[in-house]
Amino acid sequence: MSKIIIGIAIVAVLGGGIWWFMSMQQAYAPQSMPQAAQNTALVQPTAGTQPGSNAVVDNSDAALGADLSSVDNQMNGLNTDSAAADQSLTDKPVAQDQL
Amino acid sequence: MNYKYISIVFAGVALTAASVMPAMAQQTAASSTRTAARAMALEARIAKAKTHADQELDRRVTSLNALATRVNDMKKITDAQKSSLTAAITDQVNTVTALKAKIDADTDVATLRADIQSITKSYRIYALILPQASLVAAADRAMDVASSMSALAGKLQARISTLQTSGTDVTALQAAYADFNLKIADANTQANAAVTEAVSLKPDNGDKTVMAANVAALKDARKKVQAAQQDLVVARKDAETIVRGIRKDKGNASSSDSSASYGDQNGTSTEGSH
Repeated sequence: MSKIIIGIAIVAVLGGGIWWFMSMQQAYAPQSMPQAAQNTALVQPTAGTQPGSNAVVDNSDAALGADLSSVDNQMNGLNTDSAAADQSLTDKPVAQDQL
Repeated sequence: MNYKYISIVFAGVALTAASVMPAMAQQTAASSTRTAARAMALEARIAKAKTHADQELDRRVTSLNALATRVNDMKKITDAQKSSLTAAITDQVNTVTALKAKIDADTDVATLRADIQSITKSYRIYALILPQASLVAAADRAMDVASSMSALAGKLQARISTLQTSGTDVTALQAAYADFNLKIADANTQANAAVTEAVSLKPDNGDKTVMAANVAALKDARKKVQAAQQDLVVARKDAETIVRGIRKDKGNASSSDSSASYGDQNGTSTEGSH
């Protein structure tokens, strides 16, 4: 009889321990969230970054001038690429010797 | 009698041998000299042939490596298209490098002859990949320029609207703006079509019909890239027209930036519609 009581006590203690362990896991669950997800959650509410609300577009004269300069640089690159394409279409191999 | 006869025969043979042997020796020496000369001439021809082969193969590797770098920098084509071009270029570089090593090590004339002939045969693959990747690179650049111009279009539209709101006649600016957008759109269309046409071409493997189709497709893709380039040149002029118009009308209307000047392009200005 006493063995049965001791057995029940052990089972009760083990059950209580498991319950306590599970409770602690649930309590700390939010802290195990991936760091990136936490960062995202922190960044999302930041004001002024949502499209259409506080988006800033610099269309000043200086900005337009800078954009045109940038386009000019890209156009120079296009000219170079275009010339390379022309050259590739008229490529001639080095003549090989007949042995 | 017999001794006398035998002596005469021997003497005759000796005299004949004495007169013929030097001549034969001379002939043998001359023959050896000619053989050595021929061998030297052949060696010289082999060396020259190897030099020309190396020149061609080095030239291909150099241009293919430069092209690989350019392909890697492309911004607008798909990853699959970029991978396809890169794989084709890498394969060619490996093939050409291996062929060069083999030719440099060749000692047998027949083998060297065959390897040199393979340079000419493999040129058809190189002659496809080189313009193919070059045209795609140019088209990709055209699309990149068009993208930058599209971003600029929004800013120009905002400035034109500001002028219009203030009562300025913006008819000319709007016409230039409409043409600006039209040219950008067409440049994109042409460049995209050029990429589609060029990127899928495959080596002809000796099939003359395929080769002719490849050549025709490359030339057509080239025309499309040229058309895109011309569109962008016109669009750039339109943008210049609009910006000059905005600057000209600046004194007559309130703009989003009333104090910065168009000439201030050094990026130091902090004024604007922030």
